[in-house]
Amino acid sequence: MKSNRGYLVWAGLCFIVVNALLFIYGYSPYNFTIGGFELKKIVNSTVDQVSVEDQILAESIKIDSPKIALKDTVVRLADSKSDSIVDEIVSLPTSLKADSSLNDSTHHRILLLGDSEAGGIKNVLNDYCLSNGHKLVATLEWYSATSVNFAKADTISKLIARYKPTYVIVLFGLNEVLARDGANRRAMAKLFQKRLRKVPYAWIGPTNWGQDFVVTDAFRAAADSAAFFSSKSLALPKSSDGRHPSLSGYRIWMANIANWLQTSARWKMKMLPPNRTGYPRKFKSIVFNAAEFRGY
Amino acid sequence: MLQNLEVIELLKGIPFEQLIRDLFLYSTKEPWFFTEFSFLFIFGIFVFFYALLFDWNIVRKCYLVAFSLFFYYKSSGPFLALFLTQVTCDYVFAHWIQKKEGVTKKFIGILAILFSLSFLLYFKYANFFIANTNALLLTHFDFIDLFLPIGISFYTFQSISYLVDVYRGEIKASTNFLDYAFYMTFFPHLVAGPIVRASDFLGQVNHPTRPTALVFKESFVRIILGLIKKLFIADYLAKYVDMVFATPSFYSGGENLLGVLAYTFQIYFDFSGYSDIAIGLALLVGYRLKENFENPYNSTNITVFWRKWHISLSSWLRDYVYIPLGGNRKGEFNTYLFLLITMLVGGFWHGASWKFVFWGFAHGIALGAHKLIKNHLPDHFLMKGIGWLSTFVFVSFCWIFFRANDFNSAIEIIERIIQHTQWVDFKGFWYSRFELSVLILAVFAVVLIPLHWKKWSIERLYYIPAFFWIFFLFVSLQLIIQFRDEVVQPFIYFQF
Repeated sequence: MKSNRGYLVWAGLCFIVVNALLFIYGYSPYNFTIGGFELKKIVNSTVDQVSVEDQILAESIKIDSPKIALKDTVVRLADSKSDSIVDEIVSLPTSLKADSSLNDSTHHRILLLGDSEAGGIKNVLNDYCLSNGHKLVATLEWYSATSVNFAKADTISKLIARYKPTYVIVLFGLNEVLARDGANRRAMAKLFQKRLRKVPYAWIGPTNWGQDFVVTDAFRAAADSAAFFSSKSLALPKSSDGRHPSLSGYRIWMANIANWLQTSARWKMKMLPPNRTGYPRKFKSIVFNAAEFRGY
Repeated sequence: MLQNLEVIELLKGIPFEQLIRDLFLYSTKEPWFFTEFSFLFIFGIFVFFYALLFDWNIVRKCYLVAFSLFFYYKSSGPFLALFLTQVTCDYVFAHWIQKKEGVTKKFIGILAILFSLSFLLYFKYANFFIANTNALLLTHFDFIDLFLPIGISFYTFQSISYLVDVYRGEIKASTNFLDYAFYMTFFPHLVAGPIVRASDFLGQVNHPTRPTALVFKESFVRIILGLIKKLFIADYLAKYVDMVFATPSFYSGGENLLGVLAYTFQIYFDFSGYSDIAIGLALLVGYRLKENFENPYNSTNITVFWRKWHISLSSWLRDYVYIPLGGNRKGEFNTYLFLLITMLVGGFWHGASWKFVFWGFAHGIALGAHKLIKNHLPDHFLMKGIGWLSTFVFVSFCWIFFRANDFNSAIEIIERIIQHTQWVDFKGFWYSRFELSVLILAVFAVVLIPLHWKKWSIERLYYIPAFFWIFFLFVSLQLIIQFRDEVVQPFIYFQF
């Protein structure tokens, strides 16, 4: 067979060109889709790290990071033995600035993080998202979870790294409305807020039914200005368990949140009422139970 | 199409400074593997200039040695100095051995081997000996904080084979240090094998295979297949395997059984994938390494299995442990004893733990048992089926000890498989982990396909012109990115 060094040159070029393209795409703000499937990226950009004070505080409370279940497959994203704060790298959305215009037509990739109330609101949120051109990419329902779980486990960073949302909606706190250790809750909330890694977010306070001692204030203090939505004064229909809102309660709640997202939130986005309900649920639904991972 | 401003905006988003730092500096958090995309990128640049230097033999060799050393630096950082010391000393020792005769030659030979082994013994086994001394003598020696240099087990065995071959007079000591350094540092086999013999490689150093279309395609097939085996199959299986082996009591008997089966395939696809990439990379730059795996799970007995599994290690053990001990020349009893010792050495080579010793012991016993009965077995089709099944089950069983965190954990897995396996476990597994079930069935089918069928089907790909292979590379890398886990698992054999 004829020998030709050109084959070696071509081999080198193949590796250079292919990897360069993958790297450039990895660092670009664009996302391409083929046949409805989004092309994943090889790398993400770096972000700042959690402060030393928060790390020290975090060290004082131990908790395991759970495994993440996607559909039927359990995908291990977090090292269950690790308490260390993972310095995940996520891309920073450039399209959304604080106090952006209400007419912003950006289509967001939304990640919903929360406790059981997130589980209740996710389908309603999905209707709003799809109706407004956004995409609810994934939801995390972390049953029985408190701010300690959200702050201490590296799960949040992992999820953000995995799904690369351009907007995060946070909803938890129901399991700690009776807590009175304000300083701890504030610290945990602050630590959690740093885990969001500068991704624009809307932090929704829990439905506390008027029994909240410190948690709403703690979360409000930790969140950026105008990024927190207090649900303290909302009167919502309750479900039969007497603890969570009913479906109509979730719809009323979501309508209030949507109105706030459009008009007053720090990072505003288009969130008009949906023209119909029951949109197809194509988002990844991740379910944890903190009772199984409570290490304290 | 992107507008000019958008392109500038896009390029501005790339942290070039950080990328260059990541590409050229050693990081303990991210040692270089063949599966790193940064490696593949740098390798492309290396090959491009390698092509230009191909016909200038000395420059080409220097260039390749420099890249190999850079590769080792990116994998092991400061241990590069240790590696270079060992390479230089072995070169000197080999010349010394060649010049001497009689007792002096023997003495220098033993000294050279002990010197080579000393690094391995210290870094890999020091804490094992301390732990056992503490347990036996009730002492309280502190453990040493050691970091195992990547690839030390492989390059130590390689240097021993060189020294022994020179001692035996089977090869001449290399008269050119550059050639010897080229052989020892050649990056495709440097960190996780295959263990390459000097007799197979030194002759190629100055006469590389010239690049042809066939060589190009063969290399690409091996590299792409290796990447798919490792990143696509082994890493996917690893997710389930890690969960089961971490907490076997959380899973049913059937799930434990399937965890063991998944690991059986994981370790094969992981290591054979690595070997494929190594062979492909070596071939692309003009050097042919020997095959390391030949469809081992298709073996109909344990002896054949060891001829097809990690061939470079098993043949090394045969030539440098089993035969020097006496092989089959010193009576029937001694043959079995030597087999057992050889496999114990093989087990101990894999790691400083009794579980590896037990793994080697079990294989030694099985090899002896097969040797004992093989002449009494009928040569029948049915017998081959039984032989295959028993070999596969036995090998999978032994992997439990190889993979489990400790002995107790291995026993727990076995207990759960024996006492708690029910049919419903498999049904539940099928419904709850459908993708994994399909993957296990698919890889089972793949390993059962005869080797010559696989080779035949791969050869059909060689008809595709070289120009199109860039698309294959692109598609396979994007597919890997699409389906891989967030964290790529290191090659299993890197830890050895």
